[in-house]
Amino acid sequence: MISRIASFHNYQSVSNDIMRQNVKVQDNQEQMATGKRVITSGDDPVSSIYIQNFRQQDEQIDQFIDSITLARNRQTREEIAIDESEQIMDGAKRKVMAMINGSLSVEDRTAHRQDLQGMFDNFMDLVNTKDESGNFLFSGTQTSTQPFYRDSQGNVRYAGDSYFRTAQVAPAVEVPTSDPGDKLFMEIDNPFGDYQPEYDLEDGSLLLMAKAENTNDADTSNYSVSFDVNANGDTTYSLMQDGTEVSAGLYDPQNGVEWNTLKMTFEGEMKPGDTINLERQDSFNIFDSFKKGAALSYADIDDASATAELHQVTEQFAAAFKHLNKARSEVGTRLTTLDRQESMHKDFKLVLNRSLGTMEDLDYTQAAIDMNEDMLALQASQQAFAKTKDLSLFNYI
Amino acid sequence: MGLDLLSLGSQGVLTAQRQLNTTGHNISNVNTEGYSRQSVEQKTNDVHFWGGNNYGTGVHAAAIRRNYDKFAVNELNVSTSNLSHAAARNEQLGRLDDMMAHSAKKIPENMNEFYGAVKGLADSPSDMGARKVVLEKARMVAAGMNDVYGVLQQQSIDTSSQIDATVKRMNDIGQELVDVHKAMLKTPAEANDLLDRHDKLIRELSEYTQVSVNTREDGLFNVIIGSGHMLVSGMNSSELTTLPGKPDHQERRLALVEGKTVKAISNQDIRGKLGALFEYRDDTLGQARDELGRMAIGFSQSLNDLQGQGFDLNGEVGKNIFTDYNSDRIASARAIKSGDSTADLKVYIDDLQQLKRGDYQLKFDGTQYTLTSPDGKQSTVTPSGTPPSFNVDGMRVQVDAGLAANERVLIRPARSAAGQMRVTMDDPADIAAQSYVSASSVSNGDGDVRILQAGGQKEFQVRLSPDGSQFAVTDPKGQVLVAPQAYPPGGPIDVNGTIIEVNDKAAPDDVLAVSLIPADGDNSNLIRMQELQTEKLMDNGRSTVLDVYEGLSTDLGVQKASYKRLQDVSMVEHDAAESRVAEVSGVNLDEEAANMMKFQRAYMAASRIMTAANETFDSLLNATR
Repeated sequence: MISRIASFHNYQSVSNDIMRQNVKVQDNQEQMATGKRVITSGDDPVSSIYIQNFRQQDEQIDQFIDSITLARNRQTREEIAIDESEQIMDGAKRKVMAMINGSLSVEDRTAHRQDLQGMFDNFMDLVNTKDESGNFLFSGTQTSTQPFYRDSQGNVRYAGDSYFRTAQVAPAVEVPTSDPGDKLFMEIDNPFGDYQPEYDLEDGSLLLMAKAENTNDADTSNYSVSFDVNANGDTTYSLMQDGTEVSAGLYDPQNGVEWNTLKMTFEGEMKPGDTINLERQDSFNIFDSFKKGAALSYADIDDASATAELHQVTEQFAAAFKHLNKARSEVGTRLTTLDRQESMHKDFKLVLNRSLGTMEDLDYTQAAIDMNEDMLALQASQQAFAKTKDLSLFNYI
Repeated sequence: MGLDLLSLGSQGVLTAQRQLNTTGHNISNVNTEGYSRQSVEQKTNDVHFWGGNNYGTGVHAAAIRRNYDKFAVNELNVSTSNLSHAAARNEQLGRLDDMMAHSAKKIPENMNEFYGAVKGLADSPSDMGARKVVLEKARMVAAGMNDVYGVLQQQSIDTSSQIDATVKRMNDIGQELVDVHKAMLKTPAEANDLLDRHDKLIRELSEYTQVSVNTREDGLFNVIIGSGHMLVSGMNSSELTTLPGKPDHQERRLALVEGKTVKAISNQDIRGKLGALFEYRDDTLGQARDELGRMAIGFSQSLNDLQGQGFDLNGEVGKNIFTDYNSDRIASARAIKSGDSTADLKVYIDDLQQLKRGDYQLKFDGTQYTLTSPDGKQSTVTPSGTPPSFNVDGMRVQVDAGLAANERVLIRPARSAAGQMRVTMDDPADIAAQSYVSASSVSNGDGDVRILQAGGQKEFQVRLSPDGSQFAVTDPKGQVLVAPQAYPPGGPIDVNGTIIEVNDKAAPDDVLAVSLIPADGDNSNLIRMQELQTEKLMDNGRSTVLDVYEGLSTDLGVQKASYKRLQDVSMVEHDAAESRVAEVSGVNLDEEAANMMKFQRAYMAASRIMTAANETFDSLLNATR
């Protein structure tokens, strides 16, 4: 049976078809205009979840890169400050060494002292450096408190804390962005081991303590060692613990003085009657070294004890230099970490964008072909309709 | 004979005239929607028996037949109902999908910007400018949430009024159907055009709902909607109406007025556009609002929580940045009860991880509480303790005043949260940048120390043993304050007056350094805030807060895509059904033109018979002259 075509329905279905085709062409156009294949989740829900995840990661990476930039700025600033204080340590050491030079006159020493004082002032200024927003660089996390100040006795005290700031530069990587001042400038390992020597030397003595170590951390007694010569002309020592003699005997320059957990070595030529008092001190602070250096410069050039103690000060400056150098290389390591992290982020971003592109971006060739197809179909149905619309039997009656 | 010939001719003329009339009627109604093609049924007249033979006596128009296929029409109605349901769902979900991809997308963007600002602040924690930026971004997050919530809320209201309008139109249709039925009773013969009107009304009705039509013995019809609710029965029509929802009076339910009683109808099985409206309001919009609410709660609670575990710029314990979602006001608003209820429930959110979306229904039968979860699982719950409470899915439901017997209460943990989100902090200095647990900690695990009460001990470290089975608390110099004990600890630990709680996630050899001394340059809490961006806080550790948004947007996308496909399929079915109906009932102009010519010819021929009869009569008269 031949099916009948209802005229009204015919027009309606033709118009529906053309409308649908129109929608397709418009979709094509929107895709072409935005360059995106997936515009809303509904276009392709499966890709959409990936696209959203990729975008989120991309955003996070951008934020991490920003953090890295900020952290790098902080670290560079700190590196400069540490570098400068390193230079000051070196200069101070030279100055103090120059003071030891026996050929100097008192005036020369005074001049050196003034130089040293100047360096101390510079150093004080440096350790109280502020950053661009007026926060102290070396006060730990108490950034609005001036970390170092001189009290009435000329001793420098630390008002900051021992904490530091960090920056998160990758999901699981935190990098410190500051160092507390006490760790940098006040807790430097004692170059003489665990004790600070105080010399009481005879004139002309060249005795210096090389090292005094005590493996028993709980031993806080003060020691003093004095040297003498016995009847045979051999050097003897006497070790006192808190004023009581605990050990005595012949001095063996090879092994130094050993008693229980205490071990001391010396260098230089000693004179009978030389005494070195030892006070327990695991670490020292740079400010005390400056103070001591300046104070000792008032002593007479021939004062053997003072000279020995100036030697000690140079050792301390040398140790401080090394300490700061280590701190600077640590900052350097952090900067490397930041660089590495940044390049990793950038690499990952590239990969991410590539994947995002495959998921989301429009294949223009394909889209252009699709659009042409759809347009062709639209045009064909329009033309067909235009041609057939006039066909009617009524034209012939 | 001759006289017979004249009447035969005249009947032929009349019949052809009727045919032409009907053809004309068809042609005139070619564009009338719902019109069914009519045709005249011709019959030969009763024979004339004369002289042992039957003589034909011509033709007459027996009936005007309406070309109509009941089954095709039924199929069209069903497919109309399916199509309008799918189309309405597709349109609604498309609107939401579009919103999620464009305007609502600023929610995750704002959250990311907030975290970006926190990262900036971490670089200089005491900078007031950077603090202001963080607070401003927090406001933007809240504003974005409120905006989208407002739009969803408005859509819910609009949908309710759309439901009312639809119901009104359906009632009008019912009334019109009754009018058509009345008119049909008054018409003695087949009321073709009335039947067309009837069908057209049914077609429109099936756009709104699923309809089935039964013929009654008196020739009228019963019109049944949904899963068996009589809308029209012959000369009577019931009235649809909406009732305030119970216990949520804003969720209006469908009801049928039958005589003097009002019977609530289940929203299920309504199908059509009306069904789609209910699904949109109750399911889709509910889902969207719940998910946004979960994001709002997750984001706010986790940040507020961190605020409470650190110091702000003034050295005080941090205040909440956002609305406290466990305030009594919000907690009691989570339980939705009827206006006359005397029950007093407060729902607190204790664990974000377990927080789910959807409605919980709590019912009291007089002795026992029964809780129905969103997934339909039922369980009996017994509030215990003082004040009496029970826990479910990370919520603590505190029953301050019990339910009356047979009362129902809905618990919606997150529905309104996105609308309630506000930034309650107004001083940027209140942002707690410093965490109690300082950056000096050495942490390989996820160990965390919470300060329950600050006391005399300001600085201490929780140290784990190398095998992770024990821990001790020491001061920063290593002096032991709390002797080694088993890890994880059984309860709070007293460190010289400071009461702390240590979680069980620390790794061996970890050192958690705690400092209760305010430091304005510390950023450890900001670092922890940043970590929230990627921390899987929700869905039992499977999703971040931002993942919830992605999940929602994808889920809506999936629904939209499947309804789009469904719409395409329904469209094909509908088109097929429509063309089947059109095949039978539609008017084809060419056919009508052919018919017109045919009946014109018949008319002319029949009138020629009359002339012939006349001439025969004349020659007969002349013969007798």
